[in-house]
Amino acid sequence: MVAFAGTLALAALAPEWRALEVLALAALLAIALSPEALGRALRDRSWPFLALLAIGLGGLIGERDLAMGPLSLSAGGLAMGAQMLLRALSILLAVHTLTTTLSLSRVAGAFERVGFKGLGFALGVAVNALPIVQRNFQDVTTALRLRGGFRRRPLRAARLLLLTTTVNSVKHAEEIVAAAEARGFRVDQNPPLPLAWQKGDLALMLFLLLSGGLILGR
Amino acid sequence: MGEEPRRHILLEGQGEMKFTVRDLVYIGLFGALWGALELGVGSYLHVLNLPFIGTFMAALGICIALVGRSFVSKRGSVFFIGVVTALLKMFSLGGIVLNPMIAILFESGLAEVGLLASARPRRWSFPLAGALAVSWDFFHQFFTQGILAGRGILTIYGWVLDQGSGLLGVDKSAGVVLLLMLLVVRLVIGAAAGLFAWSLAVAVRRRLDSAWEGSPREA
Repeated sequence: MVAFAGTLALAALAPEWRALEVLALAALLAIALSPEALGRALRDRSWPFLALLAIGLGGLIGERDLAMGPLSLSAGGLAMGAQMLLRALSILLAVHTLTTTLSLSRVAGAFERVGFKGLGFALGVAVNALPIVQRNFQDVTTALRLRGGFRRRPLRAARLLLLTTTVNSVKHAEEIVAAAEARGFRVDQNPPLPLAWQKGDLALMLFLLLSGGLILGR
Repeated sequence: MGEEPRRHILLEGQGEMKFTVRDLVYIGLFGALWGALELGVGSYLHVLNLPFIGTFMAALGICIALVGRSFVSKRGSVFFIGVVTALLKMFSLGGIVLNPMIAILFESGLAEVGLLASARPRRWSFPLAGALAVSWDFFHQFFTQGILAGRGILTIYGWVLDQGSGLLGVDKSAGVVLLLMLLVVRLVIGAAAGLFAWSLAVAVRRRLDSAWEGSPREA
């Protein structure tokens, strides 16, 4: 989480072409913490789109001082677009590193320690309920569609969809509450998961501070 | 033993009020409901490529969270639902989800600020919370663009304003008026979402009460 927050902060603060150094730092962290993240980022379908968007937009705004055949582009805009792309790639890499190294239970444990008592339990309920809620949503949509609801009165059908899905979800919630109470479950009985603090974490924080200082301070 | 119980950030000033097991289950369920709508409705709308998709999804999501507030009438519940939804989105749905995650957290946080105006959920507090929450959709693009463009974002805005006013033949101040109009549109949509959430919550309770009539259930 520290690596992710640090990369995000540097991506936002690094001026101009220092964004390339931030990308290099993000790649280094990905290789050190989770090489799988690098592969995921490369396979991510977003970055070609990001590249086209950043460079394309960058080429269209600003003073048109660059002639490329029939096109008249902005050199400043292209440079800025390229810098935006580098920042976006750094953030993309940091997100993949975070999701491949951190488990949901550790994140919940960290949040519980800063006052979000019971977040782990609520998350567990949400993770287990999500497929049920999705299936319920699809079933109600199909039922309404078969009755012609979306064709004749779409707004009323949409309201009915939300109403029915919510009612079914609340009924499911009551079943979960009954099951938890039958087992004598209490939130205050369960301490939050311990934060796994290793020697490498301190070295990582120091490395990030040093790198941040070098990138921003020069 | 004898240690003073920890005060939870969400419950500052609330004394010893905590979320019960029932509260947390409802928070989890409404978080799952918001997440399911993001997946289902959000994907469908993106395929249609309609304008103001972000605004609509923000309105829909905060509507669900506010209905959840009617079941968990404690301060912090809406933000808690937002945190659950954001974490659910990040870990279960994959892809670049940082943008919607940030949006969900800020929207639920702003809704919570709006609800502070009233001690209990009221018909007028829901539109206020909804308006504040959906207004984040206006500021969100500047926030994310600021991260991507860094300090050069002001230069980009200056260019866009210059070119826009030149293209349309209008004064640059018209751009500011246009931006304010876009903000007002989001405030109105958010307020409508809040009102809709109130009526939906009443309808849900009515339907549940008629379904549970006569069955033993804890109040």
